[in-house]
Amino acid sequence: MASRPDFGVWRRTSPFAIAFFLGATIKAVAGSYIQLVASFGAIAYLTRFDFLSRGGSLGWAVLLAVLAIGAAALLRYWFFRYRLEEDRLLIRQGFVKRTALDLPFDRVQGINVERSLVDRVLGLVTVRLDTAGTAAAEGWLPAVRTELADWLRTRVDHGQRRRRLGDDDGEERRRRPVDEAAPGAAGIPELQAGTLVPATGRVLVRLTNGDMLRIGLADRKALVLAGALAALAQAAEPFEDAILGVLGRLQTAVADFGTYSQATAIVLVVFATLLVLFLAVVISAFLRYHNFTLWRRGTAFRSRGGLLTQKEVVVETAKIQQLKLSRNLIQRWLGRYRFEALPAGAIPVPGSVGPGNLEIAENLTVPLLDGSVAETMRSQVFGAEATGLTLLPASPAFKRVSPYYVRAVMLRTAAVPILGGAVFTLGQWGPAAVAGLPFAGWCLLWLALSGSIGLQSWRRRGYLHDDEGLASRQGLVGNRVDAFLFRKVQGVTVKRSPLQRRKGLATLEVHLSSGIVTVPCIARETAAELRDYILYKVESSRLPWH
Amino acid sequence: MFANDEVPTESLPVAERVDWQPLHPRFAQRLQAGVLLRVLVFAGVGAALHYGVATGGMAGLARAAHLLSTTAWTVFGALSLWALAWPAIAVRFRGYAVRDRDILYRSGVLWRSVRAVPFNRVQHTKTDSTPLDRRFGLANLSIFPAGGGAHKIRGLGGETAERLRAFVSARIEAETPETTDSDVGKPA
Repeated sequence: MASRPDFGVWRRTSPFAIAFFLGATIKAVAGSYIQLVASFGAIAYLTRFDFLSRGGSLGWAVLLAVLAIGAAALLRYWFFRYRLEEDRLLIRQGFVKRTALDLPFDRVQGINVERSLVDRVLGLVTVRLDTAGTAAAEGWLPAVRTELADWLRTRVDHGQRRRRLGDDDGEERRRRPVDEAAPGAAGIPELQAGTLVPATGRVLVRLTNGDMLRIGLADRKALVLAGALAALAQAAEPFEDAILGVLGRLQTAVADFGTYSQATAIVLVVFATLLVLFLAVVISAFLRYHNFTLWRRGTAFRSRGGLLTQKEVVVETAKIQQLKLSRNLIQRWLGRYRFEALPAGAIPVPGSVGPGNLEIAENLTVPLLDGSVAETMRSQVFGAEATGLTLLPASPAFKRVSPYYVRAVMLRTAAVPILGGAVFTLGQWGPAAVAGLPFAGWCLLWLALSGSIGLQSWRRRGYLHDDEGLASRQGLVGNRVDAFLFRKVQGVTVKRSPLQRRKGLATLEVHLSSGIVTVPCIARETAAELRDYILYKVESSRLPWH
Repeated sequence: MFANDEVPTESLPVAERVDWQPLHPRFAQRLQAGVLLRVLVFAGVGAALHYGVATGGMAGLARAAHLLSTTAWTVFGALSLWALAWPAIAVRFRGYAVRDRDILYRSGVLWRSVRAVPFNRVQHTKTDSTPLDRRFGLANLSIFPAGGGAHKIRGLGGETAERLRAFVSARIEAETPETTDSDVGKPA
C-alpha cells in the first residue's frame, strides 16, 4: 500500500507541470488556429506579400506569440489546484473561466498514467482519471509524485472491486473469484500468449460464403457509389464526344463490334461498371466478415471475422445498453437483418490496451442474420428481463404513434422548399406570380411528396413496452428497431412542440449511455407516465447498469 | 399498458407536479448584457465596413449599395432588439427542481422540454462561471451522466450553484450501491 497523502489541503502540482500545460496550450492553439495561419499564408502568397523586407515585424509577431503561449501555460499552472479527500478528488482550474471538478473515486473507471522523459528522471507521472462521463479530458493531474498515483490507483481499484462484488448481477458472478469477474480479464491473458481463443461456448451465428454475397448486395456503400458515379457521368457530359470517339475507335478496332450501335456500347460500359462495383463490395465483405462467427462464452459475447486482419470483438453482456435491429430495402428482399448491440459509450475497460487484433468496448455487429436468431440474441442479452419485447419490426405488438405525426413530418419536409419557392417566385416574377400556376404546381408537388413521406414514416413508427423495457420502431425505406432496459436509462426528456401542445401530445426522449431513443407524438399522459415509470425503475434499481 | 401489480402507476411520483425553482433574477440581465456586447462588436464592424465603402473612393459602389446597406442596418437593428428582448421572455420558462432521487430541468418557450436525470446515473458534477457571470454574481452547474451530454443549468446564483453541486455530490454518494451489507468482501 502506498503512503497516505495529505487530505483536505488545496495543493499545486510540481512546477514541472508547466511543461504539461505548455504542451496542452500549444496543442489547443495549433488545433484552432492552424486554419487561420494557413489562410493568412495563402493571402500573403496571393498578394505577393514581401516577407523578407518586413522580416523584422514578423519576427516580433512570432516572439509575441511565443511569449503569450508561455504566459498562458504559467497562468494555467498557477491556477491549477487539487485537493484529496478520503473518498474523492477535487480539482480547481482556470483563470478566465474557472471550473471546479468533483471526482468521487467510486465513479472513476480507470487510472491511466503517462510518463515523459523528464517525468521519468524526476520520478513524476501525469495521471488521467477516466470517468464514464464526457469529462475524460478534464480529470488530469499533471506532474505529480509517483506515490500519489499509486495511492490513487489502489484507492480506485479497491472501490471498483467493492462495487463489482456489491452489485447483485446474478449469483453466478458472485460465486466466481474476483479477478475473473472483471470484464475483459477472462479474455486477455489467453490472447497475450499470441493465440486466438477457439470459438468455444455457444455459437450463435456463423456466416457462409453465400452470406458474403448477400452482405455485398445489401451494402449501402454500393448504392452511394452508384449514385456518385451517376453524378460523375452527369458532370462528364462535356467530355461525352471524347468518350464516344474512344468508343468509336474501339468499335472499329474490334470487327465484331462494328455492327453494334453506340447506345449498346454505353449500356455495356454501365453494366461493366456496376459489375465492378458489386465485385468491390463483395470483396470488402469478404475482407471484413470472412468466417464470421459469433459466440457466447461465460458472460461475454465474442465475434470474430475477417480475411487478412482478423478482428475480434468482446462485449460483456452487462455492458450492453441498447439493441438495434435494422434492414434496408435489399435486406428486406433477402429476408435478413443487421444486428447491433451497443455497449456503454465512453467507458474505458480497464486493461483495454490489448494485442492489436483485440478490440474491447466496441459495437457488437452482426452484418446478416435471420429474425429468429435476432430474437435469440435479444433473450440472451436481456435474460429474464423484458421478455415482452420483440426486435422484429413486423410484430403486431407494436403500437402506433398519433396520426398527427404525419403532419409534423410534412411541416418539417415541405416548409423549407415551399417557402424557398415563394421567395424565388417573388424575386423572379413579382408578387402576381405567387398566385400563378407554376408556383401552385411546385407547392402541390411538395405537399404530395412530403405527405407520402409522412404517411410512410408514420406507418413504420411504433413503440412497444413491458414492465422492464421499451422497443421503438422507425423507418422510411427500411426498418429499424431499438430496444433497451429501463434500468439502464441515464435520463428522460419530455418535449412538446407548439403543434403537440395544441393536440395534447408529447415526444419522449430516452437518454442511454449508447445514444438517444425517441418515441415521438404519443399522448401527453402516456409520455408522462412512461417518464415517471422509467425514473422509478432507474431510481429503485439496485442492479449495476454497466 | 403497464400491467404492473407491485407499483400502480397512479402511486408513482409525478414529475410534472413539482415546485419549479426559478433561475437567478439577474440571469436575464446577464444574458442581455452578453447580447449587448456582441451587438456592439457587430455594429462596430458593420460601421467600419460602411464607412470604408462610403469614403473609399468607390462612390459608385456606395451609391449602388445604398439601398442594400439601409436594408441591412434595418434588419440588423430589428434582430438586435429581438435578441435583447428574448432573454427576458425565455428565462421565465426555464427552471429546475431538485427531488430526493433526481433533478429536473425545464426550458423552452415554444418547444418546451423537461429533462430528468436520476442521481444514481450521475458520474460527476462541475460548476463554472465566466467573468460576465461573476459580474452578475452567477454560476453554472453541469451534471454529467454517463455516455456524454452534460446536463447544464445556467444562471444560478453563485452560492446556490455551489450548494446544489455539494448536494448532488452527496446524493451521488448516497445512491452508489450499498457495499457494506451481506457477504460483500468475501469473494469466493
